[in-house]
Amino acid sequence: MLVVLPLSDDVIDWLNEKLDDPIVFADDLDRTYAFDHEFNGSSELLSQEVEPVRRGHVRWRVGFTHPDGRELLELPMQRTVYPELGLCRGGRGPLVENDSFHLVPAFWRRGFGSSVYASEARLFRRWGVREIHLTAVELGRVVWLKGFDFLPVNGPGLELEYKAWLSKHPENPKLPFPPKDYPEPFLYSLESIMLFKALT
Amino acid sequence: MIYPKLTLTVRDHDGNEVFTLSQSRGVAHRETAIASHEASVERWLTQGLLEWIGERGARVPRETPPSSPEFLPRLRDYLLSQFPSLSAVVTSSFEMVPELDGFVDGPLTIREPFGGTVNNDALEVRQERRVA
Repeated sequence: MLVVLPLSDDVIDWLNEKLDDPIVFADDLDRTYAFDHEFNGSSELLSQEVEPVRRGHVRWRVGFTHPDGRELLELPMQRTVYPELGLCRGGRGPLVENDSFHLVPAFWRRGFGSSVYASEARLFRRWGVREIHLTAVELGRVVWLKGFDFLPVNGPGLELEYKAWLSKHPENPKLPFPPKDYPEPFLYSLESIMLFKALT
Repeated sequence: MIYPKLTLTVRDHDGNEVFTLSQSRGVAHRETAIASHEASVERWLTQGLLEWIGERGARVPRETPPSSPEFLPRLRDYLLSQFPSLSAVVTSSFEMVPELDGFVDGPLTIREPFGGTVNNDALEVRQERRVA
């Protein structure tokens, strides 16, 4: 089998050393990003790196191309795995930060992001990653909460912010309701929202 | 001995106190917290503050432990950036802890605005009676 997105030896070594009993294969990124979707013509591993300083991290960037040759992303998609940080669900452990995922607008709302995240979640679980963290901006302020079951890192703070917003927009529903039910205008009123998703 | 003491007070849109944390001699602890924020406060006090700093594509995590002198100022800045309707103020003071075992009147707290210039006329001096 031709491995198009091979993990380098130093990345594999780092994952095996730093994570708790991960199951790592050299073709993990191939398996993850070669999912079946009408837009997924090909994917390219643009970079991968190990940051050895302190606890360190592993970071990689991937690009996707439509079968007709168009780029699917405005920027390379970037992921970074950290071996030990404070978790939103308590304690410390490995987490991944989804630093960028910017689909070209022509490809929005057709399930491509869902396919990426479903496939990545399987990989991260196998590696023993406990949480996915991201800072949602632009369309992501709505998409990750409503479509991907992410939760706010500081839920009570977001509730207070909503109550303040509600005082100027009283026609909207009052709490309590789940985070995914926040009205879109409220979410768009925030510059960014720190979100997480627990994997275990 | 005189020790610096920081106090972070967070209030909601209506001016109601959400929580107050203080830090002295490298130890942060909760003064008050409304029920909805107890878990968040507990997490900050045990795990510290986790932020993502830097530009997109080059962001790195920054953890500030509760023992750090930067803990309360960074928590204030984090809250204000995420939740603009909140007010969050850090005040600094000095806590005087007597060294003599037989001295029962203390600690002595002298408060001043955090980050501001010291105005001796504006200092509030509060003496608390410690139960021996």
